[in-house]
Amino acid sequence: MTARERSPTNVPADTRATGRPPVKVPSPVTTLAPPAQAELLRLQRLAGNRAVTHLAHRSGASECDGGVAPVAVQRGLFDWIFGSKKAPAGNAGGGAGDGRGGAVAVAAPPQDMLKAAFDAAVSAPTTIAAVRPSYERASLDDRKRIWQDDALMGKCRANLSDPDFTKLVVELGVMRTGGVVAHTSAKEADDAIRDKLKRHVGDAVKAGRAVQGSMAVLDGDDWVKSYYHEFPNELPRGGPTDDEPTTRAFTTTNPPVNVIIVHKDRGNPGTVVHEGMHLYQNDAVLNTCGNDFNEGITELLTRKVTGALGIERDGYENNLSAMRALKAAVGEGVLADAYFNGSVEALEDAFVAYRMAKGDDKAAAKRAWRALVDHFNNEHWRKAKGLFR
Amino acid sequence: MSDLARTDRLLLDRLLRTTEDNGLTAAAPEDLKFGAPVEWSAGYEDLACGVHLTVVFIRDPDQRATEAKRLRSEAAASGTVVLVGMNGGMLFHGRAPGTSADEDTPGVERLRDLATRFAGRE
Repeated sequence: MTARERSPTNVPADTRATGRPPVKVPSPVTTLAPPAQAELLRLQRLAGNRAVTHLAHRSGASECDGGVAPVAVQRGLFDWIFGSKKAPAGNAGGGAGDGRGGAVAVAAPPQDMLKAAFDAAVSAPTTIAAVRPSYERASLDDRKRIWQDDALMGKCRANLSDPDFTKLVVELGVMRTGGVVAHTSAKEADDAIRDKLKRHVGDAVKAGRAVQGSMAVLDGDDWVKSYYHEFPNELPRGGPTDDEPTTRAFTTTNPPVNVIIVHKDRGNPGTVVHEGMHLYQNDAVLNTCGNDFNEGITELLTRKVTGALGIERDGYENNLSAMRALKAAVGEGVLADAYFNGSVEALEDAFVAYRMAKGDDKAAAKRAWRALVDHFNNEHWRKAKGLFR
Repeated sequence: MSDLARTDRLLLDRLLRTTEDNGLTAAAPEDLKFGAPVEWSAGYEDLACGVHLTVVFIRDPDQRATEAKRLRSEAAASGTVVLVGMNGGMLFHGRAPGTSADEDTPGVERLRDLATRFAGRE
């Protein structure tokens, strides 16, 4: 539906189009009976004042122009605010209103005004910045009503760009459940990481790193849209480079960055913890020592958390095995400090000291460090562990 | 077989690429001796390394986790190397009989490699 179409109930969507003079409408809040006022205020808290007043005006009660509220939504909101025989039920709206406003008795609080405002915002090609006012004041529970609506999410996929869509699912806190995996929630992951690794993550926490507000658990088309935004080079689907079917989660590196996307039916309860660890990491280890080395530390620290939580865990077994040998040589504190705070030189120094204690001169010990990093990146696990014998 | 179970079965095929790529051969799944509703099971072995894998589909997350714990404690008691992992509804456990967890035998390395493949990318 476009902004130029009209309601079938003859509520004018654009008063100028009818040739009638604009109707000035007093503030909806002050003209409503107390129960309706309270409900409108609640709605404003949920959906944002702009979204509510925008929809109200689009219902034909003022000269306000522009906007994309569907007729059914306009009708429902219009009837509810300005008078109707019954309160609107969902997006379908309620009975016809007289369009003149006035104090009315509201039979029941509207259930879907937040969704109505959101629907209005995503019913045409748009941006996250334009949609955000419709939900930014809503609680996570209220946002859940949005993402549980398949039709609304379909509009989001159709009308938002890939990066904006990924931002949206994270901001809505989409957490699909009911599959075969009981994924750890973002809050549980934060609590566990901050508790079990509290000696190491203080600076990361101060820097505002957290899983909460940075994660979505997706499935179906939502997952697919976010996945190929992050990994466009794997297209076409089903092609020789396509790893989508075997990917259970990823942390984004394309805008939006540092967002965790988890597949609802893949992985295990430790998956969110592992990905969450990446959010707390300083990228110095990744950039200096490579991905396999970084995953080794990530998994080492993940197991510390999942082990304490009783979560069975697999993945990165060889990386982990070799990293455990390094941990035995330099200690967990040095590894964790490199991982969370970027102290890679201190890690190298600790390894060099370890090798020198075993008889290497300094030059040989430094060569051994470079060899260790190379063995990780070439997946020569036995050679890597051989440096600790 | 449910759609979910079928999807996971296809995923397993893709993860392990069970035939020519991995040098694995099909084997009879172990007798799991538990009452959970196993919708399917699959067994593989690498004869050269002496490694045996079993993968089962158990829909209920709690039941799957309980079984994983049981397998791990049973392995600890017997001193056998066992890697246990879960991916979706699948529970994977691999054994390298006759080797201890501290050894870096070809069998243990093979198990680690297969467990990582099974886990998929994250």
